[in-house]
Amino acid sequence: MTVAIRRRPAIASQTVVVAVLVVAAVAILLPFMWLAVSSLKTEAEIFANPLAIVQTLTLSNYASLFAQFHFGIATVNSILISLGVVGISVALGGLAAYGFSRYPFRGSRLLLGGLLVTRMVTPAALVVPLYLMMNALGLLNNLVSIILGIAVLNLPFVVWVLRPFFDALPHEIEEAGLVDGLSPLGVFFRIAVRLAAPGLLTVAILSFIAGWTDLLFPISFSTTPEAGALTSGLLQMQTGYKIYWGSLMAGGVYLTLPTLALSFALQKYLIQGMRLGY
Amino acid sequence: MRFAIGARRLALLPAIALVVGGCASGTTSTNPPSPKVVRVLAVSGPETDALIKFAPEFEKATGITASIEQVARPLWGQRKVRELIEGAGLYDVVMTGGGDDNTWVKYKAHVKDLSKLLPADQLSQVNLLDKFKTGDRIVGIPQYYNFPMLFYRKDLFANTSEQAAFKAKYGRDLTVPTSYDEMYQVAQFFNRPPNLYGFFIGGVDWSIYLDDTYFVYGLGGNYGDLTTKQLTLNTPEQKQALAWLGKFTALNPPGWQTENFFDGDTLMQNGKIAMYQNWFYIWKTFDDKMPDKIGMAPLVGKGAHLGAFVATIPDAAPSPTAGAKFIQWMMSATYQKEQAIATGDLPIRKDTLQDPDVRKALVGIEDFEKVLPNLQFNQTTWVGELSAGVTEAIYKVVKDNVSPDAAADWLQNEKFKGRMAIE
Amino acid sequence: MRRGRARRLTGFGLTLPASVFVFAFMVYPIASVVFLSVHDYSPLRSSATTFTGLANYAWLLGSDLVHQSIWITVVFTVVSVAIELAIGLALAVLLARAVIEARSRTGRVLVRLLSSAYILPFATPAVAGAIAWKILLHPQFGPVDALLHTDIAWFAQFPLASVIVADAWKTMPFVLFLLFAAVLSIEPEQYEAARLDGANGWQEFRYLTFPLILPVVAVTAAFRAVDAFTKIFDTVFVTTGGGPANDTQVFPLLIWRTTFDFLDFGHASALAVAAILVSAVLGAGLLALRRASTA
Repeated sequence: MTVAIRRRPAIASQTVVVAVLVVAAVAILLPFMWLAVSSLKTEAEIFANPLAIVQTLTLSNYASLFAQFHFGIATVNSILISLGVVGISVALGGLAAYGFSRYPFRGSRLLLGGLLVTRMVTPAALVVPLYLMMNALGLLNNLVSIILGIAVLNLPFVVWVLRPFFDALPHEIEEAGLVDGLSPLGVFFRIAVRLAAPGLLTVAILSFIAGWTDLLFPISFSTTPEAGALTSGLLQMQTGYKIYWGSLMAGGVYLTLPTLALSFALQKYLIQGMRLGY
Repeated sequence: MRFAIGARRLALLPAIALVVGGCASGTTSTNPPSPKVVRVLAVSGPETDALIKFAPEFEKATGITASIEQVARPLWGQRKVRELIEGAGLYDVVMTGGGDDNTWVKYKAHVKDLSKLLPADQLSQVNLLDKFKTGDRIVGIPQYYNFPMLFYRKDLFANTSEQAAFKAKYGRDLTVPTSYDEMYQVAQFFNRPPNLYGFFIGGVDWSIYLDDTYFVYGLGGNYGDLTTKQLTLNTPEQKQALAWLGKFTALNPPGWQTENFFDGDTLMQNGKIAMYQNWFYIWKTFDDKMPDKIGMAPLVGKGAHLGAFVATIPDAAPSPTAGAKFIQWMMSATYQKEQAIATGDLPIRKDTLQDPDVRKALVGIEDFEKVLPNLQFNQTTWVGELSAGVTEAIYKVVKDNVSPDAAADWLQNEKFKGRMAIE
Repeated sequence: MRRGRARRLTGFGLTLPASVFVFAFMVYPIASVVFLSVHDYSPLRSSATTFTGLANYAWLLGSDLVHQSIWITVVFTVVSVAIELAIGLALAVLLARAVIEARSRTGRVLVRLLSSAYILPFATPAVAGAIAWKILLHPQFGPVDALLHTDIAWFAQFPLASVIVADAWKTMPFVLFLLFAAVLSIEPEQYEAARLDGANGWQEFRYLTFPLILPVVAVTAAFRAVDAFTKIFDTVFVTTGGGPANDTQVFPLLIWRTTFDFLDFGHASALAVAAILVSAVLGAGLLALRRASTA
């Protein structure tokens, strides 16, 4: 209903756009590509030949992740943590952002400001009090504490960022839904969520990353490998007396790939959400 | 429609993740203490791996489960204080750091007197036990010993043309240095930028503080006086140490200011530096990979930095007897031998040190034995803050061209004005 | 719908779960920080918690080290966020353009590949990314210096600039993806109207796209600024360690050290309160941009 009438843009400007995007992508990927190539080298080779492509291909670095650094259980834990964070963030955050946007009430601005302030507390000031709280709740060495900690810091961001997305939705469609007899929650789930899909999906990806890459809460709340995450596993490759460079490179690559896959998969819905329009 | 379903599915996710996550984790910390479990607070590293690896022997012998927990290094300091000063009462055994925690554990921590909990015949086998005593009270038992050594390019030192050139220039043979002047001469001789540099000192604060201790202890000094309780930051030894740091860092490869001793390991292995100082643990790697290239020798000087994990039992420990049994196992001849061979660290026991298998496994043990009696610890109770100040003083010398004397005086009289060694 | 009171109650109900959740966990930490900031509690020295009024704040205001750290962090925040916004915005707009224009199957897959590539730095754990940069820019072992046939020690000679580059690399995707979503949320009809009016690419961006996405830009920038000021830590710790000589001792690093290395909770808490205040100013300033769009 929308694209047919549009004037076709010049091919030249389109090529320029793609060229710029590709060059930027390569530049941005370079550090990661270097990390990936290094992860396949032996430790000695990483430092001996900075510019050489792999001479002796080895997967030993990746093997060490599972043999030495408990990456098997850590992967499961990190997945659970990230899903928990996404669930809480999108569900509670989405509802709240919608409420702040569409149904403001006395004191809602204060509440919003308060949420932003919680984000301003530096991690060093949070570790000890939250550790004491989780200890009192009996949640140390339990993934739930990690999920809660990350979600608490992530929620203000989700609420604040989603609000303008809901603000931008046209009122008429929602009014129509209400007139049709839907409750506000119904309007939210059936109409608003679909319209604000790009924002919600993006926030879901970013929340997943928040859960996946967080280091602070796994190290604060877990002291056993069974309750450890991938990020804390990565930290253990830097002991007091030695750094396991090869494992560190492999671990870095290993940690990045799942998010990449997830992002690639969700991009489809993100873009489609836009194309569908309404 | 697609997204409406998605939203409802998403709403289920937190519930599922929370339930699964909660079930998937291990024991929580609010289980009531049982005499069948000993809870140990350690920090991750090869020595803790050794404890975990051989813990089943302890469990079999005593019937007590060993729960050895590992806290991340950045948080270790606060956890130790929480257990030993604030009396949190979560652990039966708390591992502390040998050289830098020694003084505050003695003077400020609430720990049990291990002389009353461990058998005397075993205690008598522990080397340097006096270092962990105040009066007759034993505050902790070391798990192992580790200390820094000098690493140098054995192949360069053995090279005949190098030897000839050195003799021609300095009128003496090219030998492993036994004084700071000799060490500086050798470093200057081998300083050939950009391919080879004479020395390496990592400039990041926690790394350069260690090098500072090597010089300070080596010169016979310390950061505090235990009798007068005063800080000793501008003694002649301290000033001399700063001066040497200034001189040696001038012979460093570029980038040293943001590097640390781990980078030193890599620089040495790749032939970029002639000498550097590091924990002797790295010797195993060098010996495995390049035995003819890198040599090891005792540090120049009178004293060396004591490295160790030291096991303590907090006063608030839930099961101190279990803790004592754990420490007894840790200091047993069987475990000490296993650990020495597995990690390459020095055992704490006199008898284990003489064991032929151990002596064979620890290449260079004769040099280690020379250093062992001279191990030193920091004689202040607040090394964290102190080391940050020391680093500032070092950079005054190295970066701002302040004289070593002035920098040392600044440290003692301005930066830490009014502070005491024991606070 | 029902107006007034019923609407307000609905709003309250919708926002309650999130608010309760956050404040339930944050009340104690914030109260603890404020409480300790007016006390002296250094367990290595004494187990007592002594009330000292505003002494910690007086110390903070007089300490050169603290001033240096705050200044370094403000510079870091401003420059880093500016770079991220500029690059993130440009790439977001171009990417959205490519998405809209992509017609063929390969075109669509290419666009998805590109957007996934961009997320990579943000998806890389901070420690791994920082180590990659540390070795990339290593004077003896790094490919950059090897290629340039030089041995410039980037982190030692240009510490703050190098840290800014490493961190902007990491967090730019955060900005990019939020702005990308915002651009994608603009109704196609608006572009229609603009095209029919004869607007070219740049005019389309300046008068249509940018004003419409400004609220998201403002919020994203505010969050980036707050995060940059209060959480920049891992990258600095791994690459420069705060050095050389405190040249990159950013505020979160100073607070961490004061808490976990010096065990001086009174001073550390006062510093944390200062961090909240400074980042509040930065954040509020950026949020004010939102109002510019409606002016």
